[in-house]
Amino acid sequence: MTESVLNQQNNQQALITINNITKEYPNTVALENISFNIRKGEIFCIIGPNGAGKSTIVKILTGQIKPTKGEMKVHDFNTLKDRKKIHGMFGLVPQEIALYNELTGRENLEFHGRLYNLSKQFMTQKIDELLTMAGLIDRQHDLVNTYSGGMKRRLQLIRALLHEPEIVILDEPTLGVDVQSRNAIHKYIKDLPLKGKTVVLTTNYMEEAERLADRLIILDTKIIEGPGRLLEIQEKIFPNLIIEFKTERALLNSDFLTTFLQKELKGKIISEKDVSEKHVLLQIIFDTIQTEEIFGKFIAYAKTNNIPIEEFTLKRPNLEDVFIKLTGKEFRE
Amino acid sequence: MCVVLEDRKKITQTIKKWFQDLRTILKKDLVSTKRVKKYFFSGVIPPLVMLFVFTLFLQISNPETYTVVVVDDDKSEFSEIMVNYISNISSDFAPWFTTVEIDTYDEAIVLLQDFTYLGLIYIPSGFQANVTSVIPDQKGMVYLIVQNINNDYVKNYMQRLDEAVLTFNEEVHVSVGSVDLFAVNLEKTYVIDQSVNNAKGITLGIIAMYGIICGMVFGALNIAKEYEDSTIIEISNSPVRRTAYMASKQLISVVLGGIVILILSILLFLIFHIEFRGDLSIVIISFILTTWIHSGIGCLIGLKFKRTMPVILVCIIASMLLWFFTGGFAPLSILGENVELFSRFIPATYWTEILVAETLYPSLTYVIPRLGILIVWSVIITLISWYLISKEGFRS
Repeated sequence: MTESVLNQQNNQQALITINNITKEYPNTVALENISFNIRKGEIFCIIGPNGAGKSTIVKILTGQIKPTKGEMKVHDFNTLKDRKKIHGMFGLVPQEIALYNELTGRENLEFHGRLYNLSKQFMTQKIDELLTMAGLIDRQHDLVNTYSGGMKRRLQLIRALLHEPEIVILDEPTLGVDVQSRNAIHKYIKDLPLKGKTVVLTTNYMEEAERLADRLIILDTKIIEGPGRLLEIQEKIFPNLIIEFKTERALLNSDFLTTFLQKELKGKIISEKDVSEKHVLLQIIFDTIQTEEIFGKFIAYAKTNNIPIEEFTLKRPNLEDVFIKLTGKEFRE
Repeated sequence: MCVVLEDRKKITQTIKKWFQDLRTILKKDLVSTKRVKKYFFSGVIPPLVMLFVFTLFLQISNPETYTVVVVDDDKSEFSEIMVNYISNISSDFAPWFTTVEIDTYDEAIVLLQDFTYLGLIYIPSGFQANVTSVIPDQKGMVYLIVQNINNDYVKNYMQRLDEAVLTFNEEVHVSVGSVDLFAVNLEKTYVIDQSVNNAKGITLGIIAMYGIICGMVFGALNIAKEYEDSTIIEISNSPVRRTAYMASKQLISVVLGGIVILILSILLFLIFHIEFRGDLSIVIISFILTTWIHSGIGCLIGLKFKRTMPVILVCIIASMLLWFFTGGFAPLSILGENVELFSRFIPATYWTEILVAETLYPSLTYVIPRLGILIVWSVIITLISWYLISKEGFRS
């Protein structure tokens, strides 16, 4: 899991405080009694299914909409009452591609810079630096409508960084981009805390949260898990260990499986797949998080009894498993 | 003292930032508009096509001869000489009008208004007395009243009458002592009542309405495009003040509408030879106010619908209504009292009236109250648009 340097240094310092936020619309409740803190220098991830209220939090955070109840503070400034004081603290990368297609990449950045009152000299230097970082320097004078989806996403990301904001809010920043661009964007995001930025990331992609988040919450109108580190959440929701290994089919009815694994170690076969005529791939789940103990006993038994074990893997349920368990398998609109 | 200075500095900075934001957005919009060809074509091509069609129609609808009504209220020796000059001096020149004498001015003006005749030459009573007056400034008057303003023949009427008056002045010498006086002045006025049957009559209507409709459509599309492209998120999250944003959107519409109307005006003056008689600065101010109001209405339409297609549809309907209620399709006088009354609530009505008045019969007492109404409308629309944009999540 990602662990930024600055996060370690400023571990407990809350930069954004969200207190009992509720947002109600005439026929629906978008957010219900949400409270959490975001620490300085961390990558804080908000994950949740469609309609969970992720973008609503972003909009409240950036002062675009007012919560029905509760308050949100950045550096002790109320995001609504002190809106002018927190100007420039945020750099927003919206979910949508929000670029001027009929301007060039550079013109888009210059326009943003002028809105934030940046000096010409600083702006020119910074734009060159960011365009180089995003690999767009060669295409800077091309109209944005000639850019690919991934290039647009990268341009949007560097635009949010141009005025050097303290907090970068990324609302599903890799939606619909190819793997190469996604990897590039992930790299920029991972580097942001090293430059002193605090990152708030909303995403639908579990793999993205696993790769990037220092801490996260799982949201479904209300907080259903977190805030916490991914491992903490995984262990809390799935306190299980899974061992996967390939062995001979002949061993399926042996003492190793029936007595040792199932009775002594209290394991349960959850998957059995044929991989060849002689071999099967087994997945066994243990109702414990004592990885080392189980692992030690398993290896010792196999060695002593000459049990043929291949492709041995220790597995833990991933974030997607946790997410499905918490939010259900039903489709969301 | 220090606090006051600090406050003053803050206010100056805020104002400076406001204008800087305005300029930044305006500049960006101008660059975008220049690059989006559909804006250019939708703004410039339709008026050119319309002018072409009207010019063709004008050529077809021009009768070959014109009859001008002459009303001689003075019935004096000198007025008869004048009528004689008007009727007969034409022989050396290409197409001349024939004249018909009618007894009363009221009867003649009715015939003029229903297009039986296209021009009226009126010699009021007291003509001879004024011609022979010893008071230097007291001169005989001849009035030319022309029905159709958009016509080359209007120039002919004027030239002919100028010649008749000149001849009269040269040949009819009124001597006061040893001094010969040039005794007659010519006043040219127009009947501006427009007719739906006469294509020539609605060209001023086009120039009056096209620019502001363009302003409205530009305003609406500009805002809707920001929503459609999601770029409103970038703007609303930046420190740009919503008032500066709205003002820039209205201003760009005024500029684009202004460019369109400028092209249209030049063409109209070149093709139809409309002579402008009034104060150009009043026309420019009222144009800016009217386009400001309508681009504001356009912005409100854009804010409401947020997508370009519904916005275009609403703007087309709004334009038709605007055109109808300001007499673009037919004179308001024939559409009934209710329509006339309703048109008083439409700002474009006052702009049309100011433009027509300033083009044809400039009068400050007529124009100033209408200008005042346009200013009030501008303030109201601006405040409404500022209020509504505040609901759209702007930070400032």
